[in-house]
Amino acid sequence: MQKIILALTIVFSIVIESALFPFISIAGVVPNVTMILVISLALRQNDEKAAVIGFAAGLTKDIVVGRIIGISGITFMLIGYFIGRYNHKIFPDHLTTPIILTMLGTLFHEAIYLLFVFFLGYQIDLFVAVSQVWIIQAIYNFLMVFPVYAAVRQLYHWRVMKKQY
Amino acid sequence: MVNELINLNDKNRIPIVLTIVVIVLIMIIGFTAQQREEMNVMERGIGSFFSPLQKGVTRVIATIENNVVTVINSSEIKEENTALKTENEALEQELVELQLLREELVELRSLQNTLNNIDRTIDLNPITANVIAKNPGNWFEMFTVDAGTQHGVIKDSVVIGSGGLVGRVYETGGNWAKVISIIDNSSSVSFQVLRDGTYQGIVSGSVTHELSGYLFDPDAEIVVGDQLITSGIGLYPRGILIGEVTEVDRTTDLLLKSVVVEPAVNFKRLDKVLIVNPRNVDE
Repeated sequence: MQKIILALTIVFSIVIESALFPFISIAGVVPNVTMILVISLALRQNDEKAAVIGFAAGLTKDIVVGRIIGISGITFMLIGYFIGRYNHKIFPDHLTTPIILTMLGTLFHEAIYLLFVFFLGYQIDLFVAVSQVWIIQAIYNFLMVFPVYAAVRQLYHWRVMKKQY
Repeated sequence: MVNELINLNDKNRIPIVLTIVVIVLIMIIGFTAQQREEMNVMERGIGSFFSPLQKGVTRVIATIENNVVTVINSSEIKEENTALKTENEALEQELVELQLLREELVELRSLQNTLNNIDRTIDLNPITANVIAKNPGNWFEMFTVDAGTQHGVIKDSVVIGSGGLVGRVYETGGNWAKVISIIDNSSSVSFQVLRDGTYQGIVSGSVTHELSGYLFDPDAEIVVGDQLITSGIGLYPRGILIGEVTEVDRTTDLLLKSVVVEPAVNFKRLDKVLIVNPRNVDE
């Protein structure tokens, strides 16, 4: 049951990120809702489950809307794994934790993405990439931490999510 | 080797599995970095599952947006506006066609005798599709439409929006397809100036979603406000409006004249598109 709810949450996140958020993009930048979801979920899972969640979410997102398949799969999986592994050492219930992790995650995801795109031979203006895209992306992601984190917290208040199978 | 993996304690097992998965994913990235002939079954299935969901959300949002606009404007103004827009589009298209026809007539008559093969015009049975999702990433300008192989969409089909060229089909699934717009980083379109078809060049997109390009002839007389249409070299058939020149620069070191182009299509508000098959599909 827990697995089905998690899967539906990821599906919902990918659908609204690709179909709803383009309508309210800021300077063409759409918030990375699915990554924030992976981070928020990983704070409440162990490393193995968090890595699986990240992998599934990233790969599905790549397949549904991406051009190069696998990049989000790698970054989301690693983000999920590291948060899942060290979440007992940080304070998962404090709001600053997901905010800081989202900022780090954004930086990591965008850097890896840029690296692949660059080495696969696409022409990228690095100055534009950092100055225009990253900063707006970071701000928009920051704004989206609040609703996503609150929604995940609400999700874990459900009785079904507390049961262990 | 297998036994070793199994005997490893839990602490080491996960990092090893992760490393293997990362290596496999890097290989998949390598495979999918180039345009492929066909998607695999899993991709098609996942896409077909997501397509109606995305379509539903987009429909709802578009309806809400349209209604808000209607409330703000009075209904009369909107009606008039729509009528004028339609008329304007039709006239614009007509203008392009007429000007082309005039030039083409002279050109084609002289060519007809010497060439057996006459350039095909656009297939007259376009497929209508709705834009249902957009790639949320920053590096590619791609979107998803709700028509796929079931509707006859094939790879490299040309996508046209209201008023001009939108892009080409990148990959197709059963009831969905991914489209790359002309403002994408990797896209380039050969154009000619509508006013004088001898001035030709190439425009390409960029990370900042701007359309810019250069002319082959450094002495070409091109001014701000000139309209550019596809020249028929390459993938896109001739005579589709690309956009209007907003800036002309003469880069002395490159010995080229570069232009910045405002696309005819508003890529932020894409809703319905037409998909026509590429020219040499059955040749």
